[in-house]
Parts: sequence; structure tokens; C-alpha cells
Amino acid sequence: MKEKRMMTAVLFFAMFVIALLPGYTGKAVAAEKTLVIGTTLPLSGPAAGWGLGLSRMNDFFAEDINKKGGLKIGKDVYKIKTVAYDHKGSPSEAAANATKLVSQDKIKYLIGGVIAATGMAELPITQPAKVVTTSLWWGKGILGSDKPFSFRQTISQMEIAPAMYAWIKKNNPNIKTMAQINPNDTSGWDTAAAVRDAAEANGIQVVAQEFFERGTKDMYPFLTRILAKKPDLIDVAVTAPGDGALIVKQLYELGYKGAKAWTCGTNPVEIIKLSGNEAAEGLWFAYGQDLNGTNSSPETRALAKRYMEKFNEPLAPHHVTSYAMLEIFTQAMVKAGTTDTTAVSNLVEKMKKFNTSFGPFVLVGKKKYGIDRQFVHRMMLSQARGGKSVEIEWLPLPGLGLPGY
Amino acid sequence: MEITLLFQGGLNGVMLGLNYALIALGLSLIFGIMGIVNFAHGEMYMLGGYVSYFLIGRFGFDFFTSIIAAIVIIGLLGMLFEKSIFRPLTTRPREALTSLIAAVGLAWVLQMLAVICFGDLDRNVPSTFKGIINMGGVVITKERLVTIIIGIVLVLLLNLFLLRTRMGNAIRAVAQDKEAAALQGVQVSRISALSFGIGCALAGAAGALMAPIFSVSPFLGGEVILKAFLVVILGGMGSIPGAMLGGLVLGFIESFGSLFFAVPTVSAITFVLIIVILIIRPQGLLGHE
Repeated sequence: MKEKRMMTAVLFFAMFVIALLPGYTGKAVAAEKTLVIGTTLPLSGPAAGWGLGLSRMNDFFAEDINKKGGLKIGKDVYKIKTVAYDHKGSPSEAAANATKLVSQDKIKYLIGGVIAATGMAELPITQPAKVVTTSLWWGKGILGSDKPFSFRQTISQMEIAPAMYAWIKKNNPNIKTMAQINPNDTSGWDTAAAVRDAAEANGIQVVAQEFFERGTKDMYPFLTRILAKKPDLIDVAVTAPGDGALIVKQLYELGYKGAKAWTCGTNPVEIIKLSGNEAAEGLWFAYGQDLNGTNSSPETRALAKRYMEKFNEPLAPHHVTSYAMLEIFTQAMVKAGTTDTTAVSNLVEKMKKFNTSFGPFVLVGKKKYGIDRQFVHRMMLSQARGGKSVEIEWLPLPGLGLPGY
Repeated sequence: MEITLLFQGGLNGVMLGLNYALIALGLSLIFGIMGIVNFAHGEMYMLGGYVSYFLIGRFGFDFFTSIIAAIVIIGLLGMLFEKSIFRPLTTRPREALTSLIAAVGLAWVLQMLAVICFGDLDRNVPSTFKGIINMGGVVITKERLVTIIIGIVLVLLLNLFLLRTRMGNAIRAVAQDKEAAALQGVQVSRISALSFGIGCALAGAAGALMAPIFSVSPFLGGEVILKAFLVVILGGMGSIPGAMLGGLVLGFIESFGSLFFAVPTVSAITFVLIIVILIIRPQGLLGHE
């Protein structure tokens, strides 16, 4: 009886071990590998509007590739698996997540970082491990020849601000003074410097420059002081959607009737909904592309429709850049025949121009950053009118036919 | 500096201070009666906001109904938490520490449940009182004015309840000396449950009041709890009038400070002033030694 129980236990144990054997199918198979794409983002908190869509675009890409049978890189076929951790906007959590992604999940590609302070915490972990990071980290210290694996997947304040303020000045010569409001961290400080330079280069005097703590709800105290300076234009610059919408709403409540801009104006639809149609009226967004409109490619429109059906939320233009990055880097992996990040990064640098679901991308930056690691794509300036985000025109950006990069 | 700016600063301070005071009142009440540092208090505020979001935004109820509903729902929830989580811990060793840890755990669970049920993004609550009142350059929205009035009414009602009713007398007796109150026939466990419920109801009411002004998100609790603790410590742990005064003091420091200094400087000044006050009066402005 005892022996019978022992045999049963051994049998179950053997079945358990066999079931755990990776890739076991009961027949001889070719090596199917997994390419793990990681990310650490603000998936909660005021910046969740930025982070969630980026993470979901990684998932969409993985679904699309896996549905087609995987990615053939060299002799192997890779299925894509995504891993995402929430850093809530905290640099210390971002660093902990990056360590986990690199050492536990063994990722080689980290797609879609946002909030520069978290990027500064992650790069010392990812760079030595030769992990390619593509991000929306807006900050000076993100790109450089000492960080060959750090790419910026979208235009930063250094590119947007000059273009946006040139447009504002050309079309609104009556704007002579401005105030800007930014969060009190790396993203905010670097953006404040870039916006200040751009405004002053276009003859607009900066009369107020305010930094606030992310998550602040009652902005009346510092907005009162800003309004006392009577600026012609107020820019909420790199403020996250939740905070920025409150600022816009409270500016309206305090009686501000001047021009409003959002240099990092992502998610126009969400922002207009949060701040209210009347409060948002006239607000300029730098990321104002209507993903369901005729200026967007059929692939972008399909992604926007799919996202709305799945999540009942609008997809924002900056989200789609993550999908585009995966298209670019997997294209390079296939061409290079390897997932090795050095070989792939060098090839991406060599290829320079790409067509993606989001439109054309160009890799630039040698003059400004010492290395070509800044992706530039088209940016549509839009304005909130009658509760909708109305496209105005494409901003003239470096790399897309303009000198300077 | 223009005089209108100073008046605007004063009005901003009243609004800010009242917001802080309403959240802190409940926290102070709970600590005063039960000695529990309720880290989940911010989540009661958050849930009150969501009551407002659903009743006004989704089901079309009016503003006043949503406030009453938030008071009742969050109050009952508070009583449930007291009975099921905190009361069993009163007989355990190191009660204060275990209650604190339980409160932190409760806060995390409530926040994550809110994320699962309501989503991660900020939600707008439609404004019931639209329009702005301009008094010679000093502006206030009708929404904020109504919030200030209701907030003051709630504080007065709480004071009336505590000072003029049998139940209120019982609560104050338990706060002073639990054992002596029990000897006088006060049912301490019933009073504890009621106090916890009232404390949470106040936070829920504050959340419902502020929701149309500031929007709601599952992370609202974490953002307000630090300020609530500052107010309670400044005013005096367990002191209701202290919480009111502490809230207003903090509100005015921040509001007037922001007229002259940048936000990071105001934060530093606020903390320095609080430290100075606590050095002079360690028990807080109106706390007992």
C-alpha cells in the first residue's frame, strides 16, 4: 500500500516536471524564442494618461506580430512578450523597476519611458547592460554619445518649443509676454529652459515661470500670482494631463482670457473633457493630430479605432510612437539577423529614415546631442474649439527638411 | 501689491484651509477617540468623491443628494471597517502599531479596488453651480462659494452634535477617559464605531464637496493624507477645534505665501513654520499636554 502511494506520488511529480518543461509539445520542434519587450511607466497617478496608452501600444504590437506567427530573426522565430511595471512617476520606483526588468526579466529593449526624472534614474541601470531604451523622456541629459543605447522616440521640448513659438509669434504678433507652468522636477526644469529660450528668441518676454508639485489640486494660490503679471500667453508646457487640465480650468475660473498653449499638449480630447469646453477654448496643443482624421494614415486610424473599442478611451498621438518604435527596431533586428542591441542600434543609426504606421520618422541629433538618437516625426498643431481639438497645421520641425540638426 | 490681490489671497486661503480642515477633522476625531492613526482616511475622501462622480455625473442626481449620500455611505463603510478590522486589534499587544499597519494595508486595498472598479484616469464631475462671481477683481466660482458654505455648516453641525447631544457628550467622555466613561455606563465599543463612522463620513463629505472642483481619481487619497496629518499635528492630535484652526492656518500660509514666493519656497516656509510652532507648543495649537 505504501509502495503504491509512493509510485503515485512519483508519477504525479514526473508529470508536473514535464508540464513545466518550456516549449514541450511532445514532438521535436525548431527553436521558438521569446523577445521580451519591457517598459516601466506611470500606469497610475496624474501621469497615467501618458503611461497607459504607451504600455498598451506595446501589447498591441506583440499581439499583431504573434498573430502573424512571430518575428523571423536569423534562423529563429521570436514570439513577443511584453512586461510593464508601474513607477507612478517616482524615480526611485523607476530605478527599482528597471533593475527588475534587466536582471529578472532579462529584457534588452525598453520601449516607451516617460517623465525625465525617472529616465535619469533608469539610464545608469540600462546603459551598462546595453539595453536599448526608447522614450519620451524630455530632458537634456537623456541623449548623448555616452548613452549610445538611449533613443528618444518623439520630439522633445528642444525641438517643439522653437517650432511652436515661431508659429505663435508669426500668427499672433500681439503676444508680447508669457508665463509658463511646469512640474517641479527634471522634465519641468529642462522644459522651462527650452520654452524660455524659444519664447525669447521670438521676442516674447517671460514674465513668470512657476514650478509646482505633481498632484497639487488647488492651483489658485500660485495662479493668482501669475495672473497679477498679466501675461498675454500662458503655457502649461510639460505638465501631465490630470494636473494641466486642472490648471486650465482654474485659470478660466480666475478670469484669465488670454492665449493658452501646451507645449507638451498630448491627449487633447481627454484634456478638453477634464477641464471643460469653455475653459479649454483656444488652447493650442503641440500633439494635436486627430488620429481618426484624414491627416492620419490608415494604419494609425485602425489603431485608434481598435484602442477605443478595447478601452473606451481615445488613443493619443504620442502613444502611437511606441508602436512605431517597435516597428523600427524589429525591422532592424530582422535586417541585422540578430537581437543584439549594439548591432541593431548601429543599423538603426545607419538606416536613418523609416516609414511606420504613424508616418515617417527620421533619426537626427548629431549636432545637438553628439549622436543621432533623436527621432523626429510630424507634429500637428491643434486648437480646442467648441469642445473639439481642431487641427491647424503641421509644425515645421528639424530633420524633416529643416537645417540645424 | 494691489489690494485685490491680497483679498484674492485671503479668499484662496479660506477655500484651501476649509478643504484641509474638513479632511483633518475626521482624522482628529478618530485619533482622539480611538488612538488610531487612520492612514486610510484619504481613501474615504477619495471614495466620497466617487460617490459624487457617479450620482451627479452618471445618474443625474443633484449636488446636495450626493453630499448626503456620501456622508451616509462612507460613514457606514467606516463603521464596518472599525468593527471588522480595527476593533479586533484593540485586544492585541502593541495595538497602536498593528492598527497603523492595518490602516496602511486598508488604504492600499481601497486604492487598488478603486483602480480596478473605476479605472486609472482622472474623471471630471459636472459642475452644478456654474458661473463666477467677480467682486471688484476678487473672483470666486459659485461652486467654491457653495462648498465653503456647506463646509462651514458641516463643521457647525459637528460641533453642535458634540456639545449639545447625549451621544456627543458620550464621545467627548470616551475621548477624555475611556475607562471612566465605561464606568458611567457609556458603551465604549458603540461610541468607537460611531466616532469612526462620523470621522469617515466627514472625509467622504469633503471628497464629495471637492469632486466637482478638483476631479476624482483613485490616487486622490494619497495626495491629501499628508496635508491632513500636517493639519492634525499642527492643530493638536485629537483636538477638533485644533484641526479647524490648523487647516485654516495651513491654508492661509500657503495662499499668502504663494503671492510672494515660488511654490517650492512656500513648501519650505510652511514646514519651517510648523516646526517652529511645534517647538514652542509641542502639543499643537489647541492640543492638550
